[in-house]
Amino acid sequence: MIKLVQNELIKIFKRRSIYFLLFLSIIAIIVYNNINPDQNPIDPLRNTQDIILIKDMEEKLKQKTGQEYIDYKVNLDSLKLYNSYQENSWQRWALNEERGTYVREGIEIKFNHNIERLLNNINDYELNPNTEITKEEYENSKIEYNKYIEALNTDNWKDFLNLKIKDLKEIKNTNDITNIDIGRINIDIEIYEMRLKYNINFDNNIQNEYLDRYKEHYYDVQTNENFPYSGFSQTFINKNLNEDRARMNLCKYAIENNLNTDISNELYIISNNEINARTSFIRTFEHFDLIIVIIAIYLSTTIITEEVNKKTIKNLLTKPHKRSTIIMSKLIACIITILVSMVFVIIVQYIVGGVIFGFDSYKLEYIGCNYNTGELIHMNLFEYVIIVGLSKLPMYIIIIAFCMLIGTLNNHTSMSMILTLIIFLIGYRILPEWSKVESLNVVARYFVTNNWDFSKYLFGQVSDTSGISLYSSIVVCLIHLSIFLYLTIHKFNRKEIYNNIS
Amino acid sequence: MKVLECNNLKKQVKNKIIVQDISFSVNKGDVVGLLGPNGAGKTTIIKLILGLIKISEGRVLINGYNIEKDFVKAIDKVGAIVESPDLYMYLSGYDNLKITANNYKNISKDRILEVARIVGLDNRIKDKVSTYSLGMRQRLGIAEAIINSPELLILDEPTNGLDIEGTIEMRNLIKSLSNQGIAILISSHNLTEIDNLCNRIIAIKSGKMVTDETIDEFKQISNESSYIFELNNVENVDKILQNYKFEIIDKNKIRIYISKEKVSELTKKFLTNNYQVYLVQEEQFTSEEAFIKKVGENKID
Repeated sequence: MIKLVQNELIKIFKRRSIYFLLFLSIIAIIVYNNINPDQNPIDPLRNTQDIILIKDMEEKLKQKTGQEYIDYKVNLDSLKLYNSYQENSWQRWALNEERGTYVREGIEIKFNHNIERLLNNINDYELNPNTEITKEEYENSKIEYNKYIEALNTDNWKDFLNLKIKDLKEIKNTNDITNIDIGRINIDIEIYEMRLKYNINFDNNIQNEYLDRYKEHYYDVQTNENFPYSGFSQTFINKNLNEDRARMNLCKYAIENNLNTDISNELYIISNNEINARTSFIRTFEHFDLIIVIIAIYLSTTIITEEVNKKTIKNLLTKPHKRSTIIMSKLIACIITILVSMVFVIIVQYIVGGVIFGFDSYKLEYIGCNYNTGELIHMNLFEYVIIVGLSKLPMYIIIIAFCMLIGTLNNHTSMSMILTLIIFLIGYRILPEWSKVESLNVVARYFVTNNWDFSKYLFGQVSDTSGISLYSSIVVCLIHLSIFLYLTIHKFNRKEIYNNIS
Repeated sequence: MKVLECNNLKKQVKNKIIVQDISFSVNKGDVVGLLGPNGAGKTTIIKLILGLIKISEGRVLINGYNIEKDFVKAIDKVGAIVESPDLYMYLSGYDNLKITANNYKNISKDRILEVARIVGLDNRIKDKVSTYSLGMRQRLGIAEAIINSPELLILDEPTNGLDIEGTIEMRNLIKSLSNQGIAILISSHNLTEIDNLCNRIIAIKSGKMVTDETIDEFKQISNESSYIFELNNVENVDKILQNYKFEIIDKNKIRIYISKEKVSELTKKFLTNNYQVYLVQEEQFTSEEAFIKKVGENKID
C-alpha cells in the first residue's frame, strides 16, 4: 500500500497542473490580502461631530410649554454643553456616552446620564411650578453639575469618572430598581473603574471600542438570558449566548493587557479594526477554505478519470493489487496532497500577510476563549491555525471520497469536477441557511454538509443547527464517508476495460 | 509445466457472444502466437486472461491460481502490454519504470536501469515519454512488462512501431526470454513475425478457436509433401506424370505431390524424356498462405 501511495504521489506532484493551482492560490492570497475585505467601514455612529440642530431646537423650544418645555430644554442644554467642546475631544466622547439608552418595559432607562439628570433637577426646580424637587436636591444638583463642568473644563477626565462612579453607586441604593438594572449599573461602574485602573481616556481608539463592546455584549447576554427571542431554537440561543460571553472575556482581556490590536478573531468584535498580518493569518482557513476545496475536487476527480481516459488504468489493473487497495491508495494520496496544500496556504498567507501588513503583529499570540468555561486560551499562532486546519480535514476527506465516487461513476473529468463543485456550493452555502428553518431541521441535521466542519466545535463551541452535536457529526460523517468509499470500491471492482471503458 | 491455462473461456455481453470455447495452455518456454482477423476476439481473450474484463464462463489459471479468485497471486508473475503501452506521458521513462517497479517487491534501481538497457533506452530513460517516438514507447512498454522478471509475458503487437533494427532486437529479446523458460503469448497481425518467433499458433476466428498447433503443423496444409519442378517447358508432362498428382503453375513450373524418395526417380524421368530440369524445390507454405487456408479471409463480424 505504501508503495502504491508513493506511486500516486509521484503522479500528482509531477503534474504541472497541481503547481498551477498552487500558483493561483498565491495570487488569490495576495489579492485578497490587498483588497482586505475584513477591514470594516467606519461606524457612522462613532463620531463627535457638531450638533448642527441647536438653532432649530432653540426656535422649537419657544413653542413648547409645561413639562415638554422642561424636557426639551434639558436636552438642548445637554447638546449645548456637548457642542461647547472641540470635535474629537475627550469631553465630547465622554458626553457621547450619555446619549445611549436601553429600554425596559417601554421606558427609556438612562442610569449613566448623570449630567442630564442633574440638568433635569435644576430646570425642573427653576421652571416647574409644581416641581417635586426639593430645594436641597436642587442645591445638590447644582453643586454636582458644577463639579462635572469643572472636571470637563479643567480637562480632568479622572475626576469626571469619579463623579460618575459616585453617582451610579448612589442610584444603586434607590428603591425602585430591579436586579437587571443593578447589573447594568454595575457594568457601567466596572467600565469606569477599568478606565481609571488602565488609564484609558475617552477617545476613538481600539481600547475605547473594547470598552464599548464589553458593555454592549453584556447587554446582549442579559437580553438573551432574560428575554430570549422565541423564533430561534434553544441551540441557536445558547450558541449566541456563549459567543457574547466570549466576546466579553476577550474585550476585558484586551483592556487589561492594553492591547491595541483586534483580538476578536472569528468573533468580529471590533468595527474600528485595523487588519494586520496576525488577524489575516488567524483567519487563513476562513478566507481560503475554497482554495483547498478546489484543489481537493480537482485532485480526486482526475485521479481516476484521467487514468481511465488516458488508458493507464490498464497498467494499474494488471498489477498484483486488489482494486480496493488501489482506491484506498488514491484516497490516501489525495489526503496527503491536501495536507501539503494546507501547509502551503498557511505559509504563503504568513509571508504575504507579513509583507503587506508587517511582521510585527505576529508577536502577539492567538488569544481565544473557551466557550464552555469562559477561560481564555493562549496559543502559538501556527498552533491555532493548524488546529483549525485539522478540524476542517474531515470535510476535505469527505469531499475527496465523494469526488472519487463521481469520477468512478462518470469518466468525464470536466463534468465530474463541475458537478462536484456545484453540489459542494449548494451543500456548503445554501443548505445551512435552510437548516435554520425549524421545519426542515429534522432532515437537515443529517446533511453531511451541516456536520463536516469540525472547526465549529473548537474550544467548546456548538453547532448553530439544533440537533447537531460533536458526536452526532462524527457519526454522520463516518456514515457518509463509508457509503462513498463502499460505492466507489464496488463500482471500481466491477469496472471492465474495453476500448470504450465502462 | 503449464504457466497459463484457459478452460472453456466465454465472454458474453448482453446477447452478443464475443468469444466462446477458448481452451489452450502455455507452458514454460513456449512462445505462442495468437492469430486472427480484426475483431476475432484476440484482445478480448487477453483481457480475460489479465482480469481486465469479467469472465462469463470458464476459468483462467496462471501458475495454478485462478485469475478471478486469487487475482493478486495469479497476476504477480505476469507482464503484459495490452493494445498499446500504457504510459504516463508527462513522466520520464525512469519514473514510469519506477512506478511499475513499486507494484512489486524487491525491484531495485539497478533492475530498472538494467531493463532500460535491455530495451535500448538507457540514454533516454530520464527524458519525458512525451518526447519519445512510437518505437521508443513500445520499448518502454516492453521494459515495464519484463521488469518483474515475469513467468508469463503477454505481448500485443510487440514490434509495432519498431524499425528494422529494433524489430530484430525485439525478436532476439523474446527468444532469449523464452530460452530462460518464460512463457510468452504474442498477439500479432504480422505473420512473418509469428513465424519467426513462435513455436505454436492459436488461430481465432469469430470468437472461436480454429486451431492450436505448432508452427510446422500449422503450415502443413495437407499430409502430402509437394515439390516444385522448374522445367524448360511443361508441354506434354501429363504423359510422364500419369501416376502422379500434379498442378501446372505456369509455362515452366509444375507442382507435383510426391514423397522425397520419388524425387530423384522423377527427375531422371524428365531428363530421359528430354526435358531440362532447372530447379527442384520442396514446397513450404508461408504462414500467410496457411492462415488464409485455415482461418479464412479477413472478415469482421
